[in-house]
Amino acid sequence: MSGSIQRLRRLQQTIVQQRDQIARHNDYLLNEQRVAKAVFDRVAHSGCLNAPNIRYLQSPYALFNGDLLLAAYTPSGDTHLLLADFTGHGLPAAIGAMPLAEVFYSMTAKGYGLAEILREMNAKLKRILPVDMFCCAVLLCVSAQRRCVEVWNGGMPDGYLQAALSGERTALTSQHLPLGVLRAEVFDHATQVMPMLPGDQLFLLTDGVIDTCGPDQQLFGVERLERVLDANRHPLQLIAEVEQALRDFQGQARDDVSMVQITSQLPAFLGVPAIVYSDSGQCSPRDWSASFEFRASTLRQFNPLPFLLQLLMEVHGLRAQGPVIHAVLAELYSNALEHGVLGLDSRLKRDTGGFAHYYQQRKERLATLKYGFVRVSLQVEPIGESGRLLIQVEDSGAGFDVARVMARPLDLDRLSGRGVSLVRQLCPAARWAPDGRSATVEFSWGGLA
Amino acid sequence: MAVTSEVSADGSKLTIAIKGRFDFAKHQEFRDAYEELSPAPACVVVDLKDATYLDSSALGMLLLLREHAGGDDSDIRVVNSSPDVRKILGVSNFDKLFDIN
Repeated sequence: MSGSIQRLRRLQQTIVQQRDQIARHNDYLLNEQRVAKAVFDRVAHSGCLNAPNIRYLQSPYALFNGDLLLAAYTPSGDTHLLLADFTGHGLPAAIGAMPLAEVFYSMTAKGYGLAEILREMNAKLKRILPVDMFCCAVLLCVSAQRRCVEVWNGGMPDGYLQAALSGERTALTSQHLPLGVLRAEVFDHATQVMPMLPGDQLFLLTDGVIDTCGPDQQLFGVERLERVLDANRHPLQLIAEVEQALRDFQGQARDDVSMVQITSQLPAFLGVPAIVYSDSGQCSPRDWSASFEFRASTLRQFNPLPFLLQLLMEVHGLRAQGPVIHAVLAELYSNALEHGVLGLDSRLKRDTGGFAHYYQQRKERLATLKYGFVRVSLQVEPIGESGRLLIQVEDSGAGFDVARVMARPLDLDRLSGRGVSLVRQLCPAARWAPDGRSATVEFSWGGLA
Repeated sequence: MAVTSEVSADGSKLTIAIKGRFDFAKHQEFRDAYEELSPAPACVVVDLKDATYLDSSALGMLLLLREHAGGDDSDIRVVNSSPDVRKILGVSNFDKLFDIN
């Protein structure tokens, strides 16, 4: 009798000990998650997710579901947006998010394009993640100035581009393997470019939305989602309407889905220079010139803009104008490359079909480019305490009829031929050589403007 | 058994068949099906005829199998997938790594 009472007592002790141990472990776990989230929030929330043209829905624990949403302005005022979904849950899923966010913010701030950012993200994740972990992602560059959006989708559900004027809806379908699967040498960073006018809307979601399970193990699915999109009348309500549809379908709210919506909207000001300068401000090169000639094999696969911008931003007097300089240089460079060296006709971009055709031709001609160059000459000169920068961009192309293009009004509503009018708006002193093969712009600082 | 495996008479082909949901719960069984085989078969067939669902951890398991079977030199065929499973493989573009039919 006393034996069985003792056994009961021991049993009870064991249970109490185990209960306390579980409670302690749970506390540890929650605390770990809290600390990890706090550290991560500092890394990830320095972006522009709160910009007036972005709306999103994300659970506070999205990170531990493997979901990641980041947004940041490029130096020239475009918006980069990343929606990503790591395989798995909990800390393992959260751990890859940190390096991804670092790459996204630092490369966006330095003026890198989607291709370079994607390559870096993929290489980094491939290096650090175990073979069976990867990251589905959509990366976008929304440019209100160039009226287009550039998209890369690897493994995410279709996103949607909704045109305000025509009401047309285009699916942004996954065309790639997720990030972190392929070796750097075989990774494909090819993006799609589509026209996106002010007021057009982009909607992205994670697979939790379409995989929401309803009664009888039925999935919410793409068809139901598209019915909600069809029924939507006010873009501002869209995320709430999808959320409501999921609630009605499942009978309860879901807290593990992410959705984001972005409108093309010119920023009130160009992106603030986000590069952090580590020098003390004592050494600024104020009197120098340099000339670079980027030839065919370089043009095929190298983007010289971040490098040139970083060089120019060593000149302290120019930093305040960094965003404008970047926007102008980027425009002049892509004009020289696309219309000059590659001989592409911007009139192709008059409509949506032409737009796709234009970027297809750009890709094909660039891949087989054998001859040609873009030459960038920089001249920085001090004038007393002030100074000025001259940038000349030349190309090996056939040039264009400068007089005719200059005679056109500064028109921001056309899809085609936007480069020249954008440059003239940002830099009124811009001038072109009569043969259309070279352009010169000037920036002054220190009261010389 | 939710995961069954069978090696052809000449040892050159391994067939792994999945029944029910192909998700993390099948992790160990799936690995056991190919890891200890010596010599390793030249070709692996993953039969999804009776698989009802496939999640991202199943995609991860396929990547592990691919790595084990020689990475880019591997010969892995994913066969008999249902339209729903095909859709999941399609969104991830796994047809760029595996022979899917």
